[in-house]
Amino acid sequence: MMHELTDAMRTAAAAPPPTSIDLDRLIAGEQRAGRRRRAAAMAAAALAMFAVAAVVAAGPRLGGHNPVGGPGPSATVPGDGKPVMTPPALTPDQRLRAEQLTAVLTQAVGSVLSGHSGWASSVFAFTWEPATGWTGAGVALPGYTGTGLLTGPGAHDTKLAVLVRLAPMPTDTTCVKDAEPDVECTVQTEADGSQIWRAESYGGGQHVRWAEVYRPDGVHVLVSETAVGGGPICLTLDDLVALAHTPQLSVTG
Amino acid sequence: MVSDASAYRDFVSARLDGLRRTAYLLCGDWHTADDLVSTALVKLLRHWRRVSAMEQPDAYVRRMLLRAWLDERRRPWRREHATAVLPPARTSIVDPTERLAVLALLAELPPRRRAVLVLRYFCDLSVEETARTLGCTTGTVKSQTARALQALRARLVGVPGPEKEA
Repeated sequence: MMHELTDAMRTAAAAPPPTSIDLDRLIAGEQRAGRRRRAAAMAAAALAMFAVAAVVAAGPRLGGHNPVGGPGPSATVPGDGKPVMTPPALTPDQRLRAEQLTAVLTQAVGSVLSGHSGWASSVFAFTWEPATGWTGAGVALPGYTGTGLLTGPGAHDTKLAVLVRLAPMPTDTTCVKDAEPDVECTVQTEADGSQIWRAESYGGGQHVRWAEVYRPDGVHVLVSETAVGGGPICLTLDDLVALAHTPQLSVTG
Repeated sequence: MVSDASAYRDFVSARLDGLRRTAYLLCGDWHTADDLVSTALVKLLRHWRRVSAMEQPDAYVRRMLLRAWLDERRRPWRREHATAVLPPARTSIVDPTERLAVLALLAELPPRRRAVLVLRYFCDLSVEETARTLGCTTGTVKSQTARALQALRARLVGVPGPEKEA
């Protein structure tokens, strides 16, 4: 019956009408859409940079109004009447831990980069945030965030971002790839109970790789690398997992 | 970018006919088939640099096509499109009775079973390749195939004419 079925299908699909698909139009349309996406991404990035620059610029001016040791960000109104958010002041313990994490990450990245000739890292810095940008189940959790740059051959930069916090292990291990076709994702549970997420995204014309490790002790470490300006990404997903597995990347010393 | 577009054009041109036929067997309508293929080709173009480096780009395109079809099945309101120009008349050098009989039989199957039959017996994929394309296990492919064939046989028992041909 199989051969007959194959023949019947071939017969049924024989003699198609002329196609309405115009490859030239399709390519031109997608190139236009790509330009629009890039422009939107650049506008969003510029807006974010403007916001950060505003906070940094306002910091020294408003320092006197911000109580040292205050755990959260505060909104103040300078002379021009516009409210400005200032970053939270770190407690001495938080500042010390941020410095320790910076040292740990710098060393761990250096070790991983030894396998990638021509790449170097720079400008690593951790800080403590009362509500990290990544939210779990709608809840913003406090944690340490660190950022740095990797520079490769041809002066290509990539952005490395690290999040260290206490977070519950996800019970739903469904990868987002089912909902978002631009994301490829795998989830794996280790023998010690750690949950490892590996993901890669090409959404919006931007190449991002990230790895997350949820440890049994409640620590969640996320490491992501984002290509800048269409350049290559340096670290493999295994490299990112190795970084996220660094035991010293923890919320306590 | 120009060489990318050129390579993409060469790749698609060589496979467009096969993709349209596969889409037609999935959806049963040439115009919807063209829509599905267009959707898959736009996604392919968006990820062309990555896909062209793959060992089996054909498998990726088939997967995109299948997703586009399953997606359309889930959103029936997206199937209807207004058009200012009447579509060209179908050419019918094959027996329309036979064409409609096969399509009618396929149309009675659930989408995934239909996809399994098209992938295995029209695209000539192995059980493993079909499983990878559909994102399921080989066991599922085997059981879906068996059930789909069983359903076709049951339908053909009551229809003496197509039974001889099928």
